[in-house]
Amino acid sequence: MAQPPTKVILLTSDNEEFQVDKDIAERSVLIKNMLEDIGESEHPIPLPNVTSNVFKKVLEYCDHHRNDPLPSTDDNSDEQRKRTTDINEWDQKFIQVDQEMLFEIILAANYLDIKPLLDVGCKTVANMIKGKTPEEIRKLFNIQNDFTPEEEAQIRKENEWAEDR
Amino acid sequence: MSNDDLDKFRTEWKSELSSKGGPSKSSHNDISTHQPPAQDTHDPSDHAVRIYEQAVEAEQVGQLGDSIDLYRRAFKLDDAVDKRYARYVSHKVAREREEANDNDDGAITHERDDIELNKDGNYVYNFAKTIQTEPDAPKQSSYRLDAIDKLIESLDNTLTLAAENEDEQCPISALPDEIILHIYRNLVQRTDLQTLVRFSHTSKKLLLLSNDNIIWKDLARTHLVAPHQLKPSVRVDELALVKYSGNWRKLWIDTPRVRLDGVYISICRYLRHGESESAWTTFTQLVTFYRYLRFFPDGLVISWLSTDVPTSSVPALNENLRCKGLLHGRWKLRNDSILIDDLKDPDRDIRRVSYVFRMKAKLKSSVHGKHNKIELLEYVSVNREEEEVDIPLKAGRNLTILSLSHLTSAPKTLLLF
Repeated sequence: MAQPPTKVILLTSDNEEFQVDKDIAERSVLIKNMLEDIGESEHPIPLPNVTSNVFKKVLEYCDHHRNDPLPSTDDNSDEQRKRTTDINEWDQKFIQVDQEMLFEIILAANYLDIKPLLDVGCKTVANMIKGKTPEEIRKLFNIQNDFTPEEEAQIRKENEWAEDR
Repeated sequence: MSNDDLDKFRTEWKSELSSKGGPSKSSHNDISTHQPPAQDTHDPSDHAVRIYEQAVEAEQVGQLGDSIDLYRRAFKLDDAVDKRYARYVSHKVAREREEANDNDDGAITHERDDIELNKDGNYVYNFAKTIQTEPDAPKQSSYRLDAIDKLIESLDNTLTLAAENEDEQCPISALPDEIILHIYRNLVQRTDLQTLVRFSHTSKKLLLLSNDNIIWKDLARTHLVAPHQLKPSVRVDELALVKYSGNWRKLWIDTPRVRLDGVYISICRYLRHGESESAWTTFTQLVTFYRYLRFFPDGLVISWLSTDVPTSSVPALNENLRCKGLLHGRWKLRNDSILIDDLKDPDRDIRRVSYVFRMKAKLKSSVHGKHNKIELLEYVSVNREEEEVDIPLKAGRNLTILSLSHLTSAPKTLLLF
């Protein structure tokens, strides 16, 4: 405990430098692998796909979860993790952001390879659309309906099995 | 079809889409036969499209003052009317083209599907399409999946999500396919197929992605498992390959499975004649009770006869519940036959009871869902010497599923029959 934690320097796409504790940064499998590849280095690690405001959010998550057991690559535990649909309270608060930020966090988590964060994001999206009609989902995400009325009627008819009325 | 008819058809169609819980049967007839509806429903946005159309016409003949007026009115009603109008026109053109093609082929083929062109180029009347040659049930339960498959085939991977309102952002369009799949798989994990399917209805891109085998494979491998849902000798991977040529979505929809996400319920009613002191009046009581069957993944099945209404009893119906009229048994599904055995008082040892109950039932589908009905065929008590005694099943033979999620979210959707 006496030793101060090693720091790494990370550079976001908008050229902002972040000094981060190594164990926090290594929550990202991408960064972890990079650090293993280059070894000790004074040079900042570039993260060209992440902007600083999104990266700040991501670091907030990593900091809070720095002591969590690392997700194993084992398939079984993968299943286990996904099955629990609940998002814990802290994560829920953390992910209460506007839609744009939510999807940016998801993209960053995907790029940085932070599986638990990606899961939280996807679960949040699933929660947002739960029980909504296609029309409501379109409105929610501003998605254009590119079906013809005939196509839509057909799809609706064929997929009645899932409606359970 | 005249413009007016198209207008009406569109209005009717829109209103049907927006009222998801509406009476489905009649609406499908309307859609499939392209009949203009009897009455016009006034959706403000469609009204706006019509005014917009008038405005365009006025502009084309040079009545600019009128046209500006009409445009203004249209935009007041719906500020996205220009986009709606553009889509309306493109659909109209597509339909006109389709109709023109149909007319080239010959007028008869358009409406009648019972007359087919044979090899020699003559029209042949196909009996099989008008005369019912198969029993009712399978016909009802077999879903035509061709339209979606055909549609999906026509789509390509370059599709993107477009914004409905271009002034606003559409951040979801930035997500790569793998993340959309991740969201779909998350819905699979919580077995929320309703949301999954509805999400896939929002656009072509999402429909295309929803057909990915990875989603349905997950689902089938988790839920269609031996020895309860399948014979131990049946391998689901083999089934997918042999019977469904690798289409796991079809496998999931068509393979019989006992639904574990709800409770099968039937209502039983009978009249009981009451005693009366005077000869002038007699009492008759209408007694209502419910038969509940809930299946669990580990092979446990709970059968319960109760006078409690589903809203109160279904949430309470778990493996720890002990009640009069409640029995525990074991279930297995073989093709579409459900076999329930060893039904007995949950707290008594199977070796100590002098008799158990046995049920045979058939798994069915209604038009509203898959594998959501059970028809009880046989209910017997079996004693230790394996002698069977029939228990008459007068009422409540047909049980319909009530999804557990429905009950917690909206108790109003209690549709039993």
